[in-house]
Amino acid sequence: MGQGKSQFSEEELQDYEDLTYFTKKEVLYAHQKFKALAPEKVGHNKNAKLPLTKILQYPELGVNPFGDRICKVFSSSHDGDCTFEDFLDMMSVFSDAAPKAVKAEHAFRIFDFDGDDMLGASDLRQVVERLVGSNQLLESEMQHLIQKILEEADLDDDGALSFAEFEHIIDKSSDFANVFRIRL
Amino acid sequence: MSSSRNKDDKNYKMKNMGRKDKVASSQGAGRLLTFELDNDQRPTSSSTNEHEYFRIGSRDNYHETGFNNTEEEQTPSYLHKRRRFDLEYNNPFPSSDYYSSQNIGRYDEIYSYCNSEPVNRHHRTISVHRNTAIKDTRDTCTFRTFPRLLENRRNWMSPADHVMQQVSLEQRANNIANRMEQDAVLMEDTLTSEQLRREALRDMPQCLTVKRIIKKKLNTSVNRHYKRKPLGLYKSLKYRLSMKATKMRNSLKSLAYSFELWYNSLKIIEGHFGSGISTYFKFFRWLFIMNCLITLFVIGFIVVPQLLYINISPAISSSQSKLVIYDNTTNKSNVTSVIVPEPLLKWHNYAFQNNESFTFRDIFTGEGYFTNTILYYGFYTKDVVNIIPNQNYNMSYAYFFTMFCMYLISFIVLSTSMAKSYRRSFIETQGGLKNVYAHKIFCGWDYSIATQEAADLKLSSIYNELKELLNDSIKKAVQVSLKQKCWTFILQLMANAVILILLVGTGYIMWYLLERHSSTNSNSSGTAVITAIIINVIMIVFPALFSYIVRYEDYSNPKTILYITLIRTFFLKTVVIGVFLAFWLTLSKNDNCWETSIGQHIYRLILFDFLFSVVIAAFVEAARHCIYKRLWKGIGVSNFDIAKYTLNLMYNQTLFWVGLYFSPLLSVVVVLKLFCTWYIRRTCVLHFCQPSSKSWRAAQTQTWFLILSFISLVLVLIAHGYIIVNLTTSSCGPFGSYEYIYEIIIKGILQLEQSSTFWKILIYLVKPGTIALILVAMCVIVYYLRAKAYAQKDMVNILKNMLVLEAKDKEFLLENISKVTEGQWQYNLHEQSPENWDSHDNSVSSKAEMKRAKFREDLMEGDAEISSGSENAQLFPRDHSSNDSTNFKRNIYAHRKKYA
Repeated sequence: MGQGKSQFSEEELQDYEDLTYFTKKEVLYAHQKFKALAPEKVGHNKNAKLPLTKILQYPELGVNPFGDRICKVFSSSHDGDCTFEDFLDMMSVFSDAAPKAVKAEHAFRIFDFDGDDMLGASDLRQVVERLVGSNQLLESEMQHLIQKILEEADLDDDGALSFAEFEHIIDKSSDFANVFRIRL
Repeated sequence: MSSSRNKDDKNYKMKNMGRKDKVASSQGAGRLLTFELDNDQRPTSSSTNEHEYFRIGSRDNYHETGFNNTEEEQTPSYLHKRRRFDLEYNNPFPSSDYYSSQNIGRYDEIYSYCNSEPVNRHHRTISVHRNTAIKDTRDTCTFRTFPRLLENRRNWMSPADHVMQQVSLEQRANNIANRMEQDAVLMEDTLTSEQLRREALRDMPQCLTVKRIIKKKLNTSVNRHYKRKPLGLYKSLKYRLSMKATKMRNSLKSLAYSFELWYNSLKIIEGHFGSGISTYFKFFRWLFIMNCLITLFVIGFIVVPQLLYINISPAISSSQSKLVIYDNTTNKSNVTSVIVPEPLLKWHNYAFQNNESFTFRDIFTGEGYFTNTILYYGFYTKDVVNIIPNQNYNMSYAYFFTMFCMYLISFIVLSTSMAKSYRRSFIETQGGLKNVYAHKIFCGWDYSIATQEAADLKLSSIYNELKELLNDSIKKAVQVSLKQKCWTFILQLMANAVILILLVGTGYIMWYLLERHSSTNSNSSGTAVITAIIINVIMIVFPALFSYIVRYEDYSNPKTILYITLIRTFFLKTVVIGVFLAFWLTLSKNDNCWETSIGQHIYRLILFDFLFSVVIAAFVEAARHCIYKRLWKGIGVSNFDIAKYTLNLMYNQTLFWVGLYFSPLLSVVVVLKLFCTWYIRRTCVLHFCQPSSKSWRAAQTQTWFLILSFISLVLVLIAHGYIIVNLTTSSCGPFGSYEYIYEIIIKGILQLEQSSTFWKILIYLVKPGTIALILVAMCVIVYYLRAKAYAQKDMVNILKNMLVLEAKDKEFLLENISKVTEGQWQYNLHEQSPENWDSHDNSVSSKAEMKRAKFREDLMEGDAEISSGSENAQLFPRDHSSNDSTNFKRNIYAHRKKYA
């Protein structure tokens, strides 16, 4: 961990500690991990912007069906390329210390593929498609499934889940905080 | 790459316009309505707070503005919150700088502060902002929440939005900072305000770079504003102290982080198997740490003084040390001066002259050489240790209080964590899982998975579960016949009877074995070992038998199967330990030092449990894996059975709780055992197991485990209570000078006489009548609380129904309005042609045209759709040119007048 220390000033570390759910040590550890993705690039510039493909080499993100979505949501340039600060932000939201609501907020944005701030049928379809991987659900099953989800979650019957409805579901799920978590 | 993606997204958006419009349609309608009203009242207002949703007060009472439309119509003075889109296209007076630009997506402030209207602000707040600091200020200023513009969020999020690219991060940060600066409470130079600022920033869903810029800006502006104000002495002291405290907390946190036990192991296991299996390991680690703490205390307060005592006292002649005790006790009370030097001397000989020589066999039996060592209760002295001159350390008190505290601490820790876990997984989720599908989809993926195999397995398990769920929901209509029901019932009854017989049989066998062991003379360690081995074999074979039996019982739900096996296995363990204790407490009272005997038995059980269910099980698994790899694939890879292993862990812990009292150093044995077990299990899991294909409902099962361990601890405590109150002590050990252990409190510590008033009150309190009264009172309180809980449940249901009714009202009103405006719209629509649908034009009017065309198509599809409730709402497209909107508004306005 001592190696990373030279790259950050005390002030920066303090900022990171204040603005994330991490302690300074964890910030440095996160930077180590970030550096491991592209040692030569990050060695020169601690806040170098790594392309999406590099970020996806992080094991948890690489195998995650929503990996590219996660990167996009956290990327400050919205194209999936992440600087260290974006990466740190990501890890902080996925850490144990982050409150459920913050996690829910980001989960919502990850699932919201078309960015219309509603989880509509098309979003749900994409989520399910990514979740089942190479196995394909029949079209009728997919329809049925989406309808079932909307039946459960769509409180105001407008055919899409708003954030409040989504958060309501998440609030009732005891597993969400357990699952939506990446150990640094 | 990104640009092509953008293009795709855009195309996708274009194609899906109609649908999306449908999706957000009902709100669209609501928005326009409220807008109309709003403009009537305050035409120049630059209402900056727009919310689809807002929350008032507590987290559960959130309303949607959609529902609120009716309310707003009745109360026109209400300050409306709308989405900005309406303002952009509808507001004839775009007065504020906030709306200086006409583009969607130009504004991406997250926080907007309503600075124009001081009253009646209801904001949608998210639960992030429910933290204490905010709550505090909410009391004083009625509003201290940071409304986030959900609508804006999409703008700064969406990569497809071309406008987005033009807004630099600095600009965005500036905008947010400007908004925040307008809030007086947030910008004060006080500690609360600073904390508030920090938390607001931290929880803000913005990227870190932006946050840092905002933070810098806010700090400079705070400093600028409050530079001249000197800080009072008290305040500065407070400030400095709390700064120190925060720093301390942070450094402690970071210390805890660097010493987190088995961090890497957990991370690897999580990466391979997901969070389900890691809950077992976390539970394991939790128990291990707790046991470590217990060990530290026990060693510090009991073992070390005893060792010092042994090393010092042989130097002193026995008569001297006797004298010390004698003096001491006579000074304190007359009762304890009953101690006669004669048996004490005997005890000294007994304790210090270890005649047995050490043999290898003793490690397994715990007898022989070990009998008279520091390992067991019988070795501890009832003397006063005075290592430092004039400082007496009474071993019996120390023993009693350390044990008491250890049990108390275990009890408190376990009960609070059980309550917390219960609350999280049963109360907050309102009695378990209801939204099965939504849960599967949104919480389906385990983000901690880090290997490709595990990911593939997870994907297929999600697929299978979804398939199962869908099939179940289709098949649900099949009725179970009465005959079948009866058959199932009989099966279950029989299975339960069989298991009952098995349990009783186990109890009998144990009793028989123990009896044989005690009837043969005490140094035949062979029977003791055989007893321990047989018990362990039972503990391995029976749970397997139970899970075999449960397969034939036709339980439909796999969760029920799990719980039933869990409870049966738990009963088995209770029977084993219960029979064991009962035997020793009834028959062995005349034993020379029965406490030590029990300690030895527990020691054996724990040791053989380690050999059987950890070491041998690991070998079996390794062998199975080898066979699978080299010889025969049909045997299959073994699954990691979390339930079995957790129960085993609990069994071990229960044994430890029973034995700790009789053998203080058992804690060291258990800690060593757990330490080894961790590494063995870890290796087994990583090399020989594969994750089970069924997903593991971690949170709730975890709660069940905690509840079961809590019950076992309570049972152990009851047993110990019985021992303390009702059993005469043997002559050995720290309580040898009292007839019953409880007398140590009454006679030794409180020094009560039979005649004192306190004693009388105590006697009165423990009378059956008083206890019964207390019990009845507790029952009444429980009943009252339960009734209250039910009442609240009913209330929740009523409110839920109201919510549904409100939604229906909304739909009804929308339907009416859309019917009313139908004619006008059709007229408008026929002017437009649907030909230029796919023209790639971003201008607002073409979007509107597209919408209209789509909308016309919908209209043509038939009236049925128009009158079908919520879908109707698409009659009010989200964005249309100002011309349309004025027409539309005029239209609605006319109708409103008509109705009025």
